[in-house]
Amino acid sequence: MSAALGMFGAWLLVGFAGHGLLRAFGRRWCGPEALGLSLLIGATLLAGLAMALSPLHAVNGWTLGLALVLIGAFGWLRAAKNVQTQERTEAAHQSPPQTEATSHASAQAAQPVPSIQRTDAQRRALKWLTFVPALLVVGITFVQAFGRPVYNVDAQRRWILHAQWTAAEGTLVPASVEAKSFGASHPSYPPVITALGALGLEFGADRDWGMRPGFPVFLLALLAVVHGFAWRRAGPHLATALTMLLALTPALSFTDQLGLGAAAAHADIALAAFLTAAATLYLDRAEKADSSSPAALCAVALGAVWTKNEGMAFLLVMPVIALVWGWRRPVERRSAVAVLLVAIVGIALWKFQARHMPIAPGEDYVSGGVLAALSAGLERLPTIVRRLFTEFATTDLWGWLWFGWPVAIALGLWHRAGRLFWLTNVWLLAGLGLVVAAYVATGWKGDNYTALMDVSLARLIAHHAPLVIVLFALLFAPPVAADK
Amino acid sequence: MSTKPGASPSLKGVTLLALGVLLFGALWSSARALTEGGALRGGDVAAAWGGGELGRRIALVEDALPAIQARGWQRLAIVRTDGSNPMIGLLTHRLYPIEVVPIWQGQAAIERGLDAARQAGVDGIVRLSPQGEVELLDVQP
Repeated sequence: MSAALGMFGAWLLVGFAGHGLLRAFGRRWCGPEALGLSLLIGATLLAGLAMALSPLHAVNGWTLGLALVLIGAFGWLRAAKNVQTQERTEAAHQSPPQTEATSHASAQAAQPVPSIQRTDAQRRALKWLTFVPALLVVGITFVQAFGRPVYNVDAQRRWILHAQWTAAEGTLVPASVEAKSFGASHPSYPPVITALGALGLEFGADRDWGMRPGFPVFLLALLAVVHGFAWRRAGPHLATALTMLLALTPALSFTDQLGLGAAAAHADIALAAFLTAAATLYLDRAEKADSSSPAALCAVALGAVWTKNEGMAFLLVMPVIALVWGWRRPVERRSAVAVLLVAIVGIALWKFQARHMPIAPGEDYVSGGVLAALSAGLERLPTIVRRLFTEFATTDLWGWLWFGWPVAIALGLWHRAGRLFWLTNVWLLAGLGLVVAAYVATGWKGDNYTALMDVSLARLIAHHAPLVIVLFALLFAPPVAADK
Repeated sequence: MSTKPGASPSLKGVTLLALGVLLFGALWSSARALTEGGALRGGDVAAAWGGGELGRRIALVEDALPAIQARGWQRLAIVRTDGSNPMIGLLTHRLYPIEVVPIWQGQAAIERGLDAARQAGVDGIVRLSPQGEVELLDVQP
């Protein structure tokens, strides 16, 4: 336990700073969703700080810790000021905010009157209560994480190694790893997990036993985000059921194979959390739900871009699809353009910073020549698609989650589901399409793409699996602001 | 609970039934992962890899770490052999900041790996034989 205290200290500061920013964004999230978004936004902030400090070789516990505390405090102070201003305005208009429900109801008189109106405290308590089963699952993944040191090769040679050299040299991109031999350790991979690991090491976490316990926090964030989204549409009971459906998917939580599961020191559950948060915040915003915030949406989108190369690719495709889908709707158009711009800037910043970092032979498809590689590898397509369907049916890893996708589509047709339901389907299809494209284009180990699929396919589709749950949530009524 | 406005009770029922079935599948798979899958099995690196012969070889490499560090090498090469991935990961992770250069030549002969290691300008070579024996070789400039 003590080996991981540094890692938990890092998360504490990250959560504090993230929550400060979340409050400063001016919206009132509460319950598990606020915690989940705070952790994700804080992790994005940490990566940004590490990038900013890297040219100065000043990435260390003091600089990062101090910056997180200051930014968090700034956010909290600003939020407190906003609340005071709001209260004075409300007092002047003689409309005391007895409950969150009534304050929203006055602002949105056209909304249907909810059948049950709860106070803020009741709502928060109920949200936590219905999230308890998910917390138990996260608790088991913590037990797993404490039970083993970092042992998976990719975790050792990629994420934890990068964290070690960042902590030792004070920069995400030290000159010493420009050597070609480090190419296989992918030093050009983006910085969220690296920065988090480096901060944990700086705070005294053990590089063997202290790293893994930091990773189930991303599962916590993922489940919290899904719970909040499902709550707004399906209510408390089904929010619990939908969250548990995701939580009990072994590939995301319990399975300790192939670098899967919440306890593995990998970035895949983290990316799933960022991508899911980006999708749900976009959908909320498209439906003008009261909980939406463009700043929070952009922050989690940036987090996805800075977590894995796959996040970079998807965050270029996702907003373009959304832009086409919602071209005639100003809110959707603005949101999609904002996410796209944030993604482009985020990618450019990291690619510039990591420009001297070597790329492993056969893996340069993410940087260039992708079209040539794709066209050259098209004959692989039938094998890859067959393998993908086999993966969907691997119940040891996925339970019956992927069978839920066609079921959701059938119910969507029956429900005459709205356009955002079908947008989410297209996102899911596009995400899986990018996975297929990666295997079509890869030159890994002499074009041995089937061996690469054996070790990484499950991890790549894990990024998009939570969207199946989002689809089910979208089958239910759009959110009513007063009952959020 | 509220479904889309105008949704029929039967539709709600089918949706709930589908969710119930999926949830049952998730519970079943999770239970299997936690019991038969050994997800809660603890232990060191060798145990995490399932023990057995592979675990024994990993333990040998782990035991050799102090000897490798005592050589004072700044840069070393690992010659890859079948099944040596976990050992390569372990050495890279534990020996940092010593630069570890894996000779990624698949099943190539060890001699070819040695040549490549010499060309890479390393101070020493860690050789992992298929039997799990660890050899440390100084490379003369």
